[in-house]
Amino acid sequence: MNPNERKLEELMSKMTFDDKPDYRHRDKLEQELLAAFARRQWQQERQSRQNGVWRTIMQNKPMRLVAAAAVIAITGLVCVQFLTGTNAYAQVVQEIRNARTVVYTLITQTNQGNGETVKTDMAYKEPGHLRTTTIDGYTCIVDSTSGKMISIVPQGGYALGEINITKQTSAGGYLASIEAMKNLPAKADDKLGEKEIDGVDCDGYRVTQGDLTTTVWIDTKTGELVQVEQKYTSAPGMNRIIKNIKFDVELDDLLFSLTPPAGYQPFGVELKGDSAIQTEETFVNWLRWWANGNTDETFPPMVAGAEIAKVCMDMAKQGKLKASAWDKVDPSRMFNALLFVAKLPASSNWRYAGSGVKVNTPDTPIFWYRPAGSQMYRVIYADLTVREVAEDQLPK
Amino acid sequence: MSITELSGFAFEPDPMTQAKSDPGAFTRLYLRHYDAIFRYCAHRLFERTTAEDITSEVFLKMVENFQTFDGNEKQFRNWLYRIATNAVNEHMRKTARRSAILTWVQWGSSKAGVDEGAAADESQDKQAVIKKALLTLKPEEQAIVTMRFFENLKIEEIAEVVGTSAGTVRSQLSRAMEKLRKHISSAQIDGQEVTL
Repeated sequence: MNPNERKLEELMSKMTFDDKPDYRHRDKLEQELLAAFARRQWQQERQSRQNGVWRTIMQNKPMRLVAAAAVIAITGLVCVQFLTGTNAYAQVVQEIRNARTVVYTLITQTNQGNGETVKTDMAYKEPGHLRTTTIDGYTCIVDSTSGKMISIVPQGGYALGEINITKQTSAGGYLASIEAMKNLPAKADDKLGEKEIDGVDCDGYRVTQGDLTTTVWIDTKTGELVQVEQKYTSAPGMNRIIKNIKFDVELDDLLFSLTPPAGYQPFGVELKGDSAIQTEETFVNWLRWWANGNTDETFPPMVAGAEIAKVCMDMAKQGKLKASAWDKVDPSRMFNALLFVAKLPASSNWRYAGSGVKVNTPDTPIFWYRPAGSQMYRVIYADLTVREVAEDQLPK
Repeated sequence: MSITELSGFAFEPDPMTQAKSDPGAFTRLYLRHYDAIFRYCAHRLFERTTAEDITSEVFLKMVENFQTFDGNEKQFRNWLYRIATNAVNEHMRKTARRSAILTWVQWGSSKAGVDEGAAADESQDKQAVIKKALLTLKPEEQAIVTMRFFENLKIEEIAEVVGTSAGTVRSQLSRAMEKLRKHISSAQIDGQEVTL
C-alpha cells in the first residue's frame, strides 16, 4: 500500500456520520414488525413440524413437567392482567382518556432473593382487547367483550380459556386497570424532584391509593409520560415499572385474534374461570400443593401475577421442584386458585406474608383478607388452618 | 429465559429456529441487528430520514421471507446486509434522489465552513469531498467500500453479502479505491487542490 492509499484509508476511518440510531424509530419499527410477524406466522402451514415438537414435549416425562410449568406461566400471565395497576394508572396521563390503543412494557421484580425481573409487552385496543407477550414469547390474548382468552406457548401449544369476567361485569378486574387509566385524578399527592430516566430529565409525581403507591415520571421538556413505578404494601420488594408507553399506535386486529396459530396444538386443558371454585378452599389447596411441591417445603414468595411463573421457572432451574407433585398438577384448579386472589377487591385489604415460610410452622399467619360484608378477617396459617380474627388482632 | 432453558432439558431449539415461531426471540434477533443495518444505510446515504426509511424496508422485507431463510445468525446478518444493499442501490439509482444527496453533501460542507474553526473546516471539507467521491462510484462499488471501511466487514463476508468470490471483491475494491483517489485528487477546496 503506497502512502496515498494509506492516507485515504486513514481519512476514511475518521469519517463522521449522523448515524446514531434513534430508538423511537427502532421501537416503532419493532411494533410494525411484530404485527407483520404475526400475520406471516398465522399464514404459515407448519402443522407437521409443530406436531412433532409437541409430541416430543408430551412423550418425555421431564417435558411434562416443563409443560406444567408453562401452564403456571399462562395462569400468571392471566393474573397479571387482574393486578396490573388496579387503580394504579389512575394518576398517569390525561391523554390516555381518549386513546384508542395503548402499548407499554411492564417490568416486574420479585422479592425473591436475586430473582430476575419479568418483562412483558402489553397492548390494549378498544373496546376491550388485551395482548401480553413476555420476552420469552409467551402470549396471552384476552377479549373482554366475550370474556374469552387464549394463551400461546412458543413451543407450539395453546390453551383456550374463559375468565367469566367481561368488561361490563368486572368491578375490580383486569380491565379496571385500563379504565382507571382513563379516569385520572386531577392532582397528585406529592410532587417529587427531578430524575433522569434513560437520558430524559423527568419530573416525578406520587399518588397513594390504598395498598398501592404509584410514582409517575413525566418528561420535563415535552410533558410526555416516561415511566410509572408501582409498589404494593402487601408485597414488599415486588416492584413494577411501566415504560415505553405509547398511545394510539396502529395495532392490527390480528394481534388480538383468539384463533390459535396454524399448527399449534391445544394443551388438552381449557382454563375456565369458574366462580364456584374460586374459593378460599381452592386457594388453600393450591398453597398446600405448592409447599409440598418444592424441596424447601416453603410457600411461594408471592401469590399473584406473572412473577409466580418466573419464580417457578427459577425453582425448576435450581432443581427445587418435585416432579412427583408437578406431574399431578391440575391446571384448572391452579388457574382458579390464583383468580381467587386476583379478584379480591382492594377493600378486602388482603395481605400475603408466606414468602419463605415453611409449611406447618406453628402460629404463623401467611395470608389474610376480609370477605365482602364481614367485619372479621379470615387468616390462613402456615399449617393451612383458617381462623376468623378481628382487625386489631391481625399481625402487624 | 425460556421454558426450555429451565433445567437443561434436551429440547433446545437454536435461536434462529426459535425466532421463526417465537415473537420474543424474533424481537431479540431484530434488536441485535437494528443498529448495524441502520448505520450501514446511514453510511451509504448520508441522510438519517432516508436511512431510517430504508432500514424499515429492509426489516419488513426480512419478515416476509424469514420463514424460508435457512442459516445461522452470521448468515442472517449477511442476508440483512444483502437486502439493505439491494434496497440502497435501488434507491441510489434514482437520479433525482442521488442529485439531492449530492446537493446535501455540498450544502453540509459549506455550512460546516461557516460554523466551525479553520481546522474543522478543512476536515469537514475533506469529508464532504470523500462523501461526494463515494457517490460518484457505482452503487455496487460504494456498497463494497462502505462495508469494508465503515462496517469493518472482512472481504469474505462482503463476498457472501454480494454473492461473489473474495477475489472479485478484492479487485472491485481496488478499482473503487483508485477511482476515489482520482476523484479526490481532482477536487478543489477554495480553489486549492485537495491533498491526501
